Amino acid sequence: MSVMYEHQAPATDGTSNGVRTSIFLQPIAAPSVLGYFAGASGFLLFGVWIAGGIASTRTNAIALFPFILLFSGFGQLAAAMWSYKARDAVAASIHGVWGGFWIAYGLMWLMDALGTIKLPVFGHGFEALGQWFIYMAVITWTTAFAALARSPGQFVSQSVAAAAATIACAALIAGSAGWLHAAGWVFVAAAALFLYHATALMLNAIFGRVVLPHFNRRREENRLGATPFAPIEFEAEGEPGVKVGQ
Amino acid sequence: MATVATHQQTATANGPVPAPSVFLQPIAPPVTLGLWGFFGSTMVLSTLILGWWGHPGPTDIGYFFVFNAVIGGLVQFLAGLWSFKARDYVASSLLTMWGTFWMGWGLLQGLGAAHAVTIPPLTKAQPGFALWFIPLGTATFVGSLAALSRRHGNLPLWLLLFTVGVGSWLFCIGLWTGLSTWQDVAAWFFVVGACAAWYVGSMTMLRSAWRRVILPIGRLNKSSNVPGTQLEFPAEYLAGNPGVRQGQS
Repeated sequence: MSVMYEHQAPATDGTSNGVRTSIFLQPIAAPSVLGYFAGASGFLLFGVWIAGGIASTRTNAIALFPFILLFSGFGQLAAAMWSYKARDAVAASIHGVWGGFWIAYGLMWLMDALGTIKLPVFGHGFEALGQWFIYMAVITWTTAFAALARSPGQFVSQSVAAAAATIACAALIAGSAGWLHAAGWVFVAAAALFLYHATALMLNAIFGRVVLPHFNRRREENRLGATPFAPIEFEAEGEPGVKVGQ
Repeated sequence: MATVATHQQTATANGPVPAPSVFLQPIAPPVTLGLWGFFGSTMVLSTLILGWWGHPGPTDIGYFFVFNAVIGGLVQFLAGLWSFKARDYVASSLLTMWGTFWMGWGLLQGLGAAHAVTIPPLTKAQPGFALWFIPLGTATFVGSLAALSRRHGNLPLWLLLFTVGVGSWLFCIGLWTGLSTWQDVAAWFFVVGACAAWYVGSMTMLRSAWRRVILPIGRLNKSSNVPGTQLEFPAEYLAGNPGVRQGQS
């Protein structure tokens, strides 16, 4: 409670233009748990496929796309929408853009599976997708810089994802199979880091103490066993939302 | 105000009517996601029209139209809907409008890819598609007038809406006549507008994340343009769950 911003103290008489007004804050579970899990899944499946970890064939791509479309795509986009209520501009932006990307990527393969379009072999060059990766890279570098405000750890993770998108755009435009493999493994690294953040967010909240450090700027949030958070709840009233959990 | 005062003073058979109370709920700024969707989609198509890459034919468009339809369309549309909660008149109307445009354009290209319809090349006059850009351009231009507001507007937002609004009208002429010169000029307007969209989206997100000005906001008062200036002081309880405090981790 002592960490309330002092700036809030000089509130006026609680009215605005003569109307009694209050600022209403509603706690929710962190949507980035879902967002990071979904994003990690997309990076992992896409990365392993373009890296050649499994054969980069059309058959394997078609086996992967429904999960990418639904979990990585809609899951991450849903996390972005809830991030507005979590008042997290960075999460809303990165999860929203990548969620949309995975939905589009899945639909692209759906159209290929239906014979509506015929996709080229990625390793031979795929300029249209490479063009989109330019903007995914620009956006992800921007969110990484924004994440640095609060969490150097998340800055590193998002920078790795941005680097993967950057390499992928160059590889797809130039038609370099070698660089595409490299991009794939960097995506896998980003997947591992995103997985870590999702795990840390969930475990720290559930156990009420720091189980896995998030590498945030506030040192207290990184010290194992520390309890930097004290959610407002009424356990005796019992209902989900009034207490944390169900 | 007068309405409120009247209600406060009115008594009914059941006693006095309680005074109304307004609650305000903070959310993260939705405009960033919407404008970034617009940025990516507009850049990919405009640079294709300008000949910076690929060929503006069914093959290349068939590969990427779904990305424009989802990221520029669905995602921007959703950000537009969230902008109602942000009480943002310009973003709620224009992000939603351009989101529906990209979804509609994607639908048309999808029908073309499925050989249900034939999409004519840009060099062929197509007044039907050209008509889309009259309401798009007009509503966006009206938004640019709103962006001149000293309190709610700013220079990058005005640049974005002005270039996209005028660019839409020019593109309408280009499509109506089938003249590529008009289309190329319009595409340049769109490229400038898309870059401004990235700037406005990034500026807003960085200001929220860093809690201070990072990229100059482009308002007439000096403090909005000096990096490092703290303009807002969010209400929060830092030990609480997301929503009670700003952010998650």
